[in-house]
Amino acid sequence: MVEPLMTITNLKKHFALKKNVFSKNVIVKAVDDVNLEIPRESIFAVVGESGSGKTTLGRTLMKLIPPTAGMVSMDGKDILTLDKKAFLPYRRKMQIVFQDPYNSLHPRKLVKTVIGEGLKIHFKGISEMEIRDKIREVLLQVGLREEHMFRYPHEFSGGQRQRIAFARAIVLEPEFIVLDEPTSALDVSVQAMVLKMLQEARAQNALTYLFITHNLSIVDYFANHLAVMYLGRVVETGSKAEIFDHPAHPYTRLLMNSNPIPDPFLKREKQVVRGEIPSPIHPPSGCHFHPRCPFAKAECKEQEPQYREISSGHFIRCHFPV
Amino acid sequence: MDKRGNLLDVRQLRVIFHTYRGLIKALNGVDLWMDKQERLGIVGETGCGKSVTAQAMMRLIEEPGKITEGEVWFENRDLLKLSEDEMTKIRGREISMIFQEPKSSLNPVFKSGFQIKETLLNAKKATPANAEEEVEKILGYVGMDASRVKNMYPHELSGGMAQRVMIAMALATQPKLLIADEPTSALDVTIQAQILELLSDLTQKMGNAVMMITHDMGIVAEFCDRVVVMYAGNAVEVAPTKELFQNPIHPYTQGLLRAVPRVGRPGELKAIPGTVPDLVDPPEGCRFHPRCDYAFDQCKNVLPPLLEISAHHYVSCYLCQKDGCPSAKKAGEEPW
Ligand SMILES: Nc1ncnc2c1ncn2[C@@H]1O[C@H](COP(=O)(O)OP(=O)(O)OP(=O)(O)O)[C@@H](O)[C@H]1O
Ligand SMILES: Nc1ncnc2c1ncn2[C@@H]1O[C@H](COP(=O)(O)OP(=O)(O)OP(=O)(O)O)[C@@H](O)[C@H]1O
Ligand code: SF4
Ligand SMILES: [Mg+2]
Ligand SMILES: [Mg+2]
Repeated sequence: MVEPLMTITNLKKHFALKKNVFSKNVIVKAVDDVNLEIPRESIFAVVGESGSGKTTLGRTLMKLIPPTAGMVSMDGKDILTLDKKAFLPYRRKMQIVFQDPYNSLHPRKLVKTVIGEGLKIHFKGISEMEIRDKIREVLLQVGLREEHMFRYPHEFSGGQRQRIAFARAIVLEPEFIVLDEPTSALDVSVQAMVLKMLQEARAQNALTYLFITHNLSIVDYFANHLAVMYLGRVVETGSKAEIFDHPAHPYTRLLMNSNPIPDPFLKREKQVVRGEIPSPIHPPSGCHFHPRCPFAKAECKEQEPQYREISSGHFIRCHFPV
Repeated sequence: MDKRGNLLDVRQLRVIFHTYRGLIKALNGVDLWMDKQERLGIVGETGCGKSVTAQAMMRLIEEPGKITEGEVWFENRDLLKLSEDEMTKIRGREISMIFQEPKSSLNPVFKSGFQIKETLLNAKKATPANAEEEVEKILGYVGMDASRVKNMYPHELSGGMAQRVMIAMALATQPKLLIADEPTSALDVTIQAQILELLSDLTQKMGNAVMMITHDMGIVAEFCDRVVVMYAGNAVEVAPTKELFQNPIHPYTQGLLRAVPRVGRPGELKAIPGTVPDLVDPPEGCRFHPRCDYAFDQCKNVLPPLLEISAHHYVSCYLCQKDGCPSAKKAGEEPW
């Protein structure tokens, strides 16, 4: 296998929550012992229900928040331990685009400022002329027009704002972009345009995406690798094709089965996952999924399943894979 | 007058909103109808008028909005002509609604059991003597541990639990019609699947008709008997679910279906070019014409009527009148 772009080893991010002045701190294990390899130029999807730790994973490996433990290596370097100066080139190489196209752009800055301000930090001595050229180029790449640089973000629709946020990321010529639910606030026809633009930009600029989403249909269409998270843990990961063809973790299977499919002719047994998503403050013992799992046995409640490889590149965390 | 549905027949419903930007022509003559016990899906992109249609039917449009025209026949009464008192009796008893954010529709200061009890007493579906018992029974129907949940305040409920409480309240009065406005859009998929299953089972058992407002074609495919596709304030296509997916006729419906990603069918997604119109200054004629590949002169002048082009399949598009729907399937091509 080619050298992965990024290797995540035993990554943990725990938050201490104070319920009130009298009680002890409680710990939320938002990211708990995550191990992943992200292949170069892949679209690596992270799926899971709300609170499963997707955003926290993205933010931790971008070093936007400090990790509790673990390693993230890029080009063979552990980036989490780098000091500010040594990390600066990585700050440029790694970018993030957030879900909400309404709040992620500064309302009183012109589009050219929004897109251009990072350039001055990362490309010392760049001329105004060069900045202008780069902004024009990325605007065209994301399907906007040159004159849009003189407008304010609020003058744009949701899909257009998401393009601006993406232009701001790619203008720095990154290698890796975390896309945190970039289309979930958009209508399907707008989403289709944004996804297409993202695909083209990836091919043109040799980018690697970590694509966070709730939507398995988009994963099938868009991604080539996949990790499924449940309450802070990665419960299954592998190539998209492998996981869609042979989902081995009961949670992955039920997640796929819950996803409504726009085909009224399709006949399938709907299996509904029972029970609520447990509180991440007091997750169930053993395998976190055991109270909702149709295959759970005593062992599942007592012992935490190990993360193990069941076929080449296909890892799971389950005592009784399907 | 011939009714198109034996439960509901909405005709030419028009709603406007006065805003500082000008007059928003939100509903531009909406037509839709339902039979008893039917499940009708209303789909369309944000701002197309799905929620306003439901609110107008229930006469819940408030300032700065106004219903300017239309009829809402519910069985044999035009709801738009009833007195406010009569309408109050219909709301919550004969027609109930549930919404996307269940917590914001519950009163935060009362326990959930109390709120269900009030609903039952108001609708005379329980007496003070048996109300407590009825509440427990109803919470049981929606799959909850009644003794625990009835003593919980709304903020203590998860999104899925709050939606179950809402469903319990909405169905407690045995309404003939339940309007569900994006009831699962705020929920996770596993919880969404639970709620849809619950809605499906209960309404089937109790015989309620359901109007399911959604932007998710998957939910339409799995839940609805028939579908209304809305665009910019009009019903542009109405058909039984299978017919709509197999043989979409309106250029907008075709575009919408091609834009939906679907597991097991990778390949191109196609976006609809252009953007939805500003309803302060909507296009004349067919409101879709500026984005339509097939538009011709006639489209730009007068709104095309919603006509039945084959059994139970209605389309508002001039192409169908011109030369037998050339926008329909091209030979050998998958419809979408
Ligand atoms: N700054 C924080 N302080 C305390 N707890 C946090 C913080 N950020 C996240 N958490 C908790 O960590 C867990 C994971 O949250 P995260 O936002 O990563 O989930 P997610 O998978 O992105 O969910 P969603 O799909 O809703 O965006 C949650 O229980 C959340 O409440
Ligand atoms: N109170 C209001 N004041 C002004 N305009 C309104 C008001 N309520 C709705 N509108 C306008 O009416 C149109 C239809 O809105 P509606 O809420 O019915 O859309 P929708 O189809 O339900 O969209 P969504 O999928 O986002 O819920 C929109 O253009 C909206 O801006
Ligand atoms: S009526 Fe005309 S503009 Fe409207 S959808 Fe049909 S062909 Fe297109
Ligand atoms: Mg998140
Ligand atoms: Mg709505």
